[in-house]
Amino acid sequence: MGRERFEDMKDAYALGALSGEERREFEEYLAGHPEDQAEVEELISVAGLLALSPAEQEPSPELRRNLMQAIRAEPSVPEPERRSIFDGLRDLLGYRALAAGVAVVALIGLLSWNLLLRDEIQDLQSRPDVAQTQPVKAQPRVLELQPAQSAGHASGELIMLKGEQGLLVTKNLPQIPEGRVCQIWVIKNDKPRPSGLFQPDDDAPVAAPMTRAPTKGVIVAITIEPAGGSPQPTSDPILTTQL
Amino acid sequence: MLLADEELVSLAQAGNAEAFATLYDRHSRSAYSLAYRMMGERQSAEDLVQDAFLKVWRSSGSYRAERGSVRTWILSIVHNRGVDQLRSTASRRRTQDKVEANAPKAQPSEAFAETWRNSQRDQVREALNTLPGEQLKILELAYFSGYTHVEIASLLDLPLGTVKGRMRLGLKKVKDFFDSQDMVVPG
Repeated sequence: MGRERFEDMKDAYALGALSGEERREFEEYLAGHPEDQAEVEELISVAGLLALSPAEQEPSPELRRNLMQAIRAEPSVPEPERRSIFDGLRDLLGYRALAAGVAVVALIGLLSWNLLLRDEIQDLQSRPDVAQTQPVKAQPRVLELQPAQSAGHASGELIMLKGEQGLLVTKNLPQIPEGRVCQIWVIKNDKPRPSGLFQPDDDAPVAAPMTRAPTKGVIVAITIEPAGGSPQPTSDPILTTQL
Repeated sequence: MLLADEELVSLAQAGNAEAFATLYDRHSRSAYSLAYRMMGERQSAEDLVQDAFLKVWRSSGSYRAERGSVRTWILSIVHNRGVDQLRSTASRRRTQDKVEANAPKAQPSEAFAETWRNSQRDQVREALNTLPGEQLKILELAYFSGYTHVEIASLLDLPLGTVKGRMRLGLKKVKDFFDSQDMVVPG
């Protein structure tokens, strides 16, 4: 197979539209031309989008039951240690407890420049009676954000302020390319709505006020988007939480 | 509290059936939707999904995050096995359009992952809507019905070069749609 035939067949290959013999011939060529593999992988990604387009169908509950019976009847998959899913959750919780502590400490340092909190503090400062008689009520509600695996050691917290205002404190976010920003989303009834932008900082926690109230039941997520933000998310989330 | 798909695959690889069940719950609807689109009826679609998820269970160690998301991996397994089954079947079903038209609407879900998939599905459909009908038809015959380019040329009574050209233009147009909106092709 030469270059010309490769060009002629690559789209059909990506769509799975070559015969078995053609596919083997194409893959042999590809194995000998690693410089062409990225192009083919991109075509496969584009063709694979078709898999997302069919109308939603719900499989029967029997399918799930049969499948689970089948895998439990299978010879055991090699496993050095059988870990419950809850062990994984416990690991995450342990990590997040630490991350939460770091984020809360970081928040104290960020109060001086965060507009929302400054307003709140000024409000309290102007009312010493409130500050003295109700010192405990100023505790905000804090929710931890779940990092995607691709987000490395990223951590974050959603701090619920009075009046349903939200403040996101994030730390250790992955480096983002030039011309990109982190965008906050509030997802309600399956509709993601832009709720603020911020630039991550390599060395310090970043606090970002949310422009949309994180009300009960919504999902809050952070994605990386082109500068200026996007009307709809264009990448997978790096941090999420559900209220 | 949600575990990432990649974490669930790792747990499934270690033999954790609960993690596998969570993975199934998260992606079975997309997998079944694709299977139903390919096979055209419920029983064959369910057989295909069961077959594909058994492969997921048995070969979870072969998943490579750098090559795409878990969802893409699972859907590619469904697709590849679906094509194999279609090609081994003497008479192919051609009821996909009818199936599409009669499909029930998705149930709304508050789960974030589901929301995300719905959002991406909308983007993909928007991209596919930009294709001329003759290009879309060829992509669908190839991808969902498992026909080879030679078979499509024969079915539609078109020169093979025309079929290849429409495949190329169709895929390019989908990619251009995402590029033009500065969107990333979902992996």
